[in-house]
Amino acid sequence: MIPISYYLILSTIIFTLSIAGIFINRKNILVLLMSLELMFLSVNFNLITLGNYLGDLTGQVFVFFVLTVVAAESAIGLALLIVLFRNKKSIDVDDLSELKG
Amino acid sequence: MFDLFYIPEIILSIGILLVIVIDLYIEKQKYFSYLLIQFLIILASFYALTEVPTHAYSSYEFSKFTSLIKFLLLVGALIIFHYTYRHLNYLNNLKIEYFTISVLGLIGTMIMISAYSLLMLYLGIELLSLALYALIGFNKASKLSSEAAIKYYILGAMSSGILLFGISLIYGFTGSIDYFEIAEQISSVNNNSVQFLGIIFGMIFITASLCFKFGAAPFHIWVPDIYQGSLVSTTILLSTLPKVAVFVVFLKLYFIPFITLAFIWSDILIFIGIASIVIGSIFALTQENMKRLLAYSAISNIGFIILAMGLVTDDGLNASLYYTIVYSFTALASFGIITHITSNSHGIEDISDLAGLSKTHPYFAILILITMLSSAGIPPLIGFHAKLMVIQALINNSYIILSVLVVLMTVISAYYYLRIIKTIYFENRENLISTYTRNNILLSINVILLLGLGVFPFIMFDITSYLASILVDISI
Amino acid sequence: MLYEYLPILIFLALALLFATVMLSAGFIFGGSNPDDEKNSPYECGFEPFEDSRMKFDVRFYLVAILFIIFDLEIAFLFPWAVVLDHIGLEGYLAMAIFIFILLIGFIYEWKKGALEWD
Repeated sequence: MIPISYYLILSTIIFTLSIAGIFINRKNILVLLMSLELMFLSVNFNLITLGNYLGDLTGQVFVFFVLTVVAAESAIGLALLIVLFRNKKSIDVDDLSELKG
Repeated sequence: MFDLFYIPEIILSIGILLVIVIDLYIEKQKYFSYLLIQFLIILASFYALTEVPTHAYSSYEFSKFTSLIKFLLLVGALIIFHYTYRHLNYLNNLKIEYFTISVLGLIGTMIMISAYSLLMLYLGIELLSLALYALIGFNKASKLSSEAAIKYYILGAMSSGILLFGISLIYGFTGSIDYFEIAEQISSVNNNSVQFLGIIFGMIFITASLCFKFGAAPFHIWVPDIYQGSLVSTTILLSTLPKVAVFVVFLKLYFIPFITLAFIWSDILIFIGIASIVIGSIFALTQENMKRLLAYSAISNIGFIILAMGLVTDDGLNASLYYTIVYSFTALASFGIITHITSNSHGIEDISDLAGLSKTHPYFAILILITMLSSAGIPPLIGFHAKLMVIQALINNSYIILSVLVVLMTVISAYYYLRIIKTIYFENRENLISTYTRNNILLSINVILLLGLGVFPFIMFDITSYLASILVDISI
Repeated sequence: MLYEYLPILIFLALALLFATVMLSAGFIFGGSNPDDEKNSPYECGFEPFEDSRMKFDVRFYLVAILFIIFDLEIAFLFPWAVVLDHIGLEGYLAMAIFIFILLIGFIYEWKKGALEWD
């Protein structure tokens, strides 16, 4: 039997990696979207593990909702990305610099 | 089960689905669809006040408090849509989708307010955020708009992830997502156990995420960019409805499940509040862009609300409720005026665009004068009472140094509000300021109320102390 | 229980070993003397015209976006179908409402022309 702390540590590592991916990445917005997905997956992992540990279905039901909402979210993200690309002809993170004051 | 059909969320959801379909078939008559949406909101606000379901639903709460807040939100939405319609019409960017998406966001705020479990809270926040991503990027031809949208999207999704991580920790260490059960679990946990540590971590994650949604200081970087990049009508929406909803979420979350942890979050909230006030007041000094300036002013106002909440006393709670309502009212007026004035065929961007407004449009100049004086906290106006209440609550709880700091920051912030007035009345510029109408009754009422409620402050005191009293009813 | 997965583990180890041996054999025994011409990408004898990472037509993204939304309903439909016996009329109606809302989304995208390729 693998202790639960291992699962939690793994999901925390994935979560931290995804946040690092958002802040360190300086190239492409698509990679940012992937980091976001990774972040939600780590949370899902956490919820399932804890739900299983507690012997409670709430965690798994929560995961269903999170999956759906995240799908809607990434759809909007892709749509915004297309609009951005049409306006700027690039999806580099460094080009997001016109709003400053 | 059937009493659920009369709650405003259901009315709006069903109605908005109808409007989406109807609008597909009568694409030319936008005004009709718009009127339909306004009618829906009026209907929903009527039922919000009259029909309060008596059933107890786990994970969803109906009470007088939530109904009243929902009513206020619906009335706010009504006014915002009224301003928005003219604004979009003027910009030739009128699409009914703007209103349908806004209504979906409105439903999201209502779910946030009624949420009594972390799942409902998450769904409400997401519904609101998804609507806001789309609304910020609504101006598809504009580079600034799409840049603002993608920025808000990435930061917003990240904060949702952080919220979820906090929720998963709270769920794991208390075994429940229901507010009430979480409260029971937390009160029985030993302060030195691992479980307690996990709960604290979860709470801090949730706090960080909600502060982001609120636009409070360490997480405020997005606020000026997004305010500047989006249409003014979106900015009004952003600065009123979500703030009220997030405020209620703060209130319910901290005063129901986390109430026994007050000795920890009180300090955090006071720090965030002070940081927001200081950053909002100081950074606004150098802004030339009108929307960025108002964004920083929003940050400092949010600071007042959070600071008052962090005191964990009755007068602090009262003050924060009062301040929230007054703030959203003032924001409604100040951004509402900006939607009505345009210069050079686009909206007002820089403060210097307003120069000479007193000569060409004395009526709007007076409206801005009243609103800015109220925001600055000049005595007969309502903004003064709001700031006074917060400072009074601070002094009553013997935070003397903090109250001095807050007064100092208020004086600093008065400078940039007065700078706008100076630009309007004492500077001249040959430029084409135009308005759609000579006057607007709703806008005038909005501004006059700022003055009227300031002269007779007891009306608002009564409303908020009533709200606070029914809030205390549910939390104990 | 984990014991049942042993064949898979052995298979994976063998596959890994085999692939490594083949690749490293080529790398070790084959000669290599690269120069600029050999390293540059080959495109019918021309200079390469553009970045080798091809730009996708934006319409693929549109299809992907619509797919994501309608794909996820399956995540709800499967568990619902499995327990349909136990949840009765109420569960049936709840799913009917859900599908109805999706249907409105479908009507919307159809009428707006999002499903047309040209």
